[in-house]
Amino acid sequence: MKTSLTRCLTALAVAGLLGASSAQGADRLAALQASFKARYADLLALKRDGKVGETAEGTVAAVRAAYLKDAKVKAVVDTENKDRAELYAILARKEKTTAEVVAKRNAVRNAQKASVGEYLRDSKGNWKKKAK
Amino acid sequence: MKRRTAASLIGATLVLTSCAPTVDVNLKTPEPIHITMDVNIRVDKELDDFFSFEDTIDGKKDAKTGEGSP
Repeated sequence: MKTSLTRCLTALAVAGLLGASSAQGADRLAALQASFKARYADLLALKRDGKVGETAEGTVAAVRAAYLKDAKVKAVVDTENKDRAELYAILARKEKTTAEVVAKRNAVRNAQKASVGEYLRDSKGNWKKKAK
Repeated sequence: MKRRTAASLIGATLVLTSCAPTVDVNLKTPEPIHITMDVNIRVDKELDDFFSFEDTIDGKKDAKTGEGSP
């Protein structure tokens, strides 16, 4: 009797912990999404100006190093990549894969979504303008 | 005589069974490919859901071509 009560309480505690952890994950995802959303217009403008582009590693980067001297460009690139790294780790845990796999999938997705004229960097580090 | 015959039979059986050709057919399914594809599909869906706000901000661009709708 005592054993079954202990088991029941342990199961409840584990379920509670898992539920709390899942809720925390959802909260963090919502916060991250808000952060991406707030920055999106700036990022899009920098991409259309040809200052920032998507890379094959699922990050964003300045097309020329000199553009990073602009504090706004640097802030957008750094914050975007920091948030992406966290997002990739969360989604990798959720889907039982690695952050690298998630990053590569996002790189493919972003390259497809990029507008004509935006810069894309391949895995060898070469920048190319999206033609079509 | 009988012992000799029995020994010969055992010997012949051993020789025949040891030389019998065996065909090892590997019927394993290519599971890793399916798993990889499945993960990619699930990750793509997670990313599409997470970044769904981009389409509303960005004038509903086509995810495949990057072209905007008129």
